Amino acid sequence: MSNLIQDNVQERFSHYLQNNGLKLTSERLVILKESLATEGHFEADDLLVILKQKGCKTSRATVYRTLEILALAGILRKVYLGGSAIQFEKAFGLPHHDHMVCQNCGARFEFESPELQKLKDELGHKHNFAVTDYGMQIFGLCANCAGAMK
Amino acid sequence: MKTEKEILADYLKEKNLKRTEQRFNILDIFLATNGHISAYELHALILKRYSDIGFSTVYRTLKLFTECGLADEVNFGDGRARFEKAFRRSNHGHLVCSKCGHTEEFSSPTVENVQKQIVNKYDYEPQGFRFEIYGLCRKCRQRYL
Repeated sequence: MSNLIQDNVQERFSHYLQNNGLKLTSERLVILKESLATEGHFEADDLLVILKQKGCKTSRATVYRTLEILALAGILRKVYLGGSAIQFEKAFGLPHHDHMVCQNCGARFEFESPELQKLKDELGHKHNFAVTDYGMQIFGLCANCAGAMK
Repeated sequence: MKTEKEILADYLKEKNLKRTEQRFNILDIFLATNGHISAYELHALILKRYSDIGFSTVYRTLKLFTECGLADEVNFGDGRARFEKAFRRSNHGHLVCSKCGHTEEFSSPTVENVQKQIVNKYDYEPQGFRFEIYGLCRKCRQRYL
């Protein structure tokens, strides 16, 4: 990630914290940096392991709460991919995409759909919601697994 | 068409699980609920009639219901899994208020079409989808903005 984007993200985070009466602690900053360094999807516990390996003494509760804040600030996105734990992924400055997951082997595809973008605006208007985010997950069987089960 | 009880009984048999009375009592109470219910809320309802059913039994049984297609698990971003009846219901999405948790349901041919396009493109056998729109409902906007 380029330095410019990193600076923008940090600025957005500190604005969000300030607006919500929260402090920009060094722990929150480390969690921000480590989540931006991840690739793909991660769980809160994955991040905790990485932080522990780097000698950071952050507690699990702090990691969980900070990830929630990062999601509310629009820096990360929470995704439900059918497993038991919520996954996070980077969202800031990236185009929206959705997921399709194989229920057998866990293979994932990402897709982008302009129709869904339009739909969430229409539905927000119709139901009088100020839309902040949306997500679609398609569950099914990939060609390999569907073939193997027949 | 099979009833909900028959679906559960068949699934238990297929998985070599016991056909306990408790599992069917939980099903009865679950089928009488409306909307989205968490395992805790369902347990509270069950305790009124069956004081000997524990929370973990309720939770595990709800998981069984999702496996055999009687329930869908839905997540509205607050970290608490909720369940809704899935059998004989059309596929639908949810609008969720991030502040008060108020939810509204919608069904849309657009979502069905997108699902069709994507599963065809990647050669998937579809089993279902979830679609959530997050935001602030009218009441919360008036209250907080």
